[in-house]
Amino acid sequence: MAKPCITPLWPCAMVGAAAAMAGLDGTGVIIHGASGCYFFADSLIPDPVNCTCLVEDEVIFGTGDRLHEVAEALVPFSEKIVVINTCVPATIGEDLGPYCAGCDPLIIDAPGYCGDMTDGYRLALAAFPAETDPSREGVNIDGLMSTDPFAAGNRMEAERLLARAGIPVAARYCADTLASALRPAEMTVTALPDVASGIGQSVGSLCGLDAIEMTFSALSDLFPDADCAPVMDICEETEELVVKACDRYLRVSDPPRVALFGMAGYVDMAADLFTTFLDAEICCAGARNQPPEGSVCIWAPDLGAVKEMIAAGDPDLLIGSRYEETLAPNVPFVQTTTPIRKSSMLCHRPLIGSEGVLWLIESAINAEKKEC
Amino acid sequence: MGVLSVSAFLTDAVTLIHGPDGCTHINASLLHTTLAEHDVFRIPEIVSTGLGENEIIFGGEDALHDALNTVCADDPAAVVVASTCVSETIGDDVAGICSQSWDCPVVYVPSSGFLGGTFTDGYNSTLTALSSFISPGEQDPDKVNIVGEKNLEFEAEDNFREVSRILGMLDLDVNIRYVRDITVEDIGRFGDAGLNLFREDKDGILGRHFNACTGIPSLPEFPVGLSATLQFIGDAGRLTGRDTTDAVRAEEERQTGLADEFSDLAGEYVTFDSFGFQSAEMEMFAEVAEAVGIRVSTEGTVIPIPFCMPVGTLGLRRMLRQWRRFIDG
Repeated sequence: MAKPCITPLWPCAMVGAAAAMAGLDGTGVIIHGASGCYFFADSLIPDPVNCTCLVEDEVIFGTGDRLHEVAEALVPFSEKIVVINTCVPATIGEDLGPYCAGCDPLIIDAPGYCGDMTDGYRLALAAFPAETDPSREGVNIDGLMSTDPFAAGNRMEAERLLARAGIPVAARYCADTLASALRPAEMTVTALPDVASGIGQSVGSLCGLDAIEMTFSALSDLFPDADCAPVMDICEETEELVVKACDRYLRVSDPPRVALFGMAGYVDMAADLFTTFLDAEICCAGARNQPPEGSVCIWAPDLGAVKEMIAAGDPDLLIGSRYEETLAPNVPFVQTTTPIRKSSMLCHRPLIGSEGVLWLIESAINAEKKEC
Repeated sequence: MGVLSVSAFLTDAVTLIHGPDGCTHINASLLHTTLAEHDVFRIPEIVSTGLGENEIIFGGEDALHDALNTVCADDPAAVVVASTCVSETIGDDVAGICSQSWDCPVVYVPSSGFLGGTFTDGYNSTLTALSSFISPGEQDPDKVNIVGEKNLEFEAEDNFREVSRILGMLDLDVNIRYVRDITVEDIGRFGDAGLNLFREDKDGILGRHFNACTGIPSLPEFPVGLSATLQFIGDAGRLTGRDTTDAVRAEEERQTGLADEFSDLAGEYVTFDSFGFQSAEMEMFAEVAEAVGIRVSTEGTVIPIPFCMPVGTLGLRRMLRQWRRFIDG
């Protein structure tokens, strides 16, 4: 049943589906809907997306001709036409296959009313016809959603750790060529579990030091030629650095009272790190997406819920997005969740892996410091 | 978005969007981002009816009904209900539900994206819909309503200050800013003004509506250009029954001072680039160039036409400073 909510803070399924497919080089992604839907999706997705820009006439007389026109223009530049169906054409229910300029399209029904951005992302990957190739070497990386500002940094960090273990990288979801993504290897490691692809056999995630160690321990069993010791060393060194920095912080500061907001995977990782190393009290933890079983988060997808949680929690450290910062402008703040528009993040910063752990702890410790 | 650019600036009202959560997020996010770019850090509180697959199949009217009950329980001064593409497509009777008896005033604005028109249509529709809160007033000739300010315009406050200054030269005070950070009760005082000044109503859509419902005379737009500013003073004086001789003379002196201030640009050559947004042929630019002694030639320094036209004499000063930066740069 529909439930009214105040200012939803998370994009709809259409955005997630388009982000997933646009991240695969070789696709020609068409958002089949109004310009308003496209404009917003385009502002969040770093890869090219296209739009049929439907208007009233097409809604009444059929959207096929308009889709054909856009598909025809894209075919010369695309190995695969992908149509992301938005609310109104999905409701009308036209058969769009015959209107894709004679090619064999991938049509994904991702109307906004079927879920949020993470739902749409998973829905698109479920429709993606990847077939594991037993002969392909290496391990796939998934959980890379381009609307996540840390996705590129996460990819590079995952590649770095795998390279240290001597394990080749196979397909990357969704930051790869279409050809590579269609024939993944059999094993997959996950950057961010919330947007795991379901493609290949999951070996584990890279969200936090414990997860990294468990994942590489499993990889060493699956890849006898791999040498995971350097990664274990990195984890140990990282932990030493974190313990030292946090101990120094706690010698002059009380443990922080932290409010965490974002995707559940990141929030769970941050909660674990802050409680383990900073003795932090997690006064509230809100997930933009539906949190999995065992998560410390409660689902907080709208401003009303976030506002109540911050007011009740009275945090002295806030992890989240510009929305949370606006709600509590005087609380030291670390930005980990979109929107991050005002202060653009230019470098490819990871939030997973050992570098992600270091950055998050460093940012939390430094959040209160005003002087050089 | 056009609806929200007005309704979100009604401080004690709630905007309810009848559609999936994603539609509300899109609009709230764009509004928040635009305001943040203008250093206004607030998040508009917009309620979504949260339509899901079930409502798309079986109808969303119950969801709207429930949402209105929930929203009205908090006793807002008014609820502005905006429809979306999908709620219009499935044929929910939003107008019918809004017209039922509720615990607070409910105003419906049809605003589905590709079925309901453009940003400007939503903006105009909301301004006209909210006029239902206007009460009959005294039409005091000393008071002016500022109507339809572009709330997402970066220069909104600067432009307001400039027209307030010009109106002040005629001893005219601003009555209400319709709709910029006012309450629903404030709208009731709309009829107390003797003149309506529209931000930009070249087609006369808003002018005709507000003239019909209030009888208050109006000026169609903020003044843009040297002679237009003088003309504006004359028109405002005529419509409010006052002598403008001194005010026009004072403004002419100010404009002369402006030309002197930029006399270092006399003899320079410029050409105007519209970037497709505005007409580079606008006489205003040639008029300003001539007043300062700048020559217009295709060989001259390329000057970008501002996205929003400069308001009053102060706006022209800001524009000329930009011209100087381009010429000197």
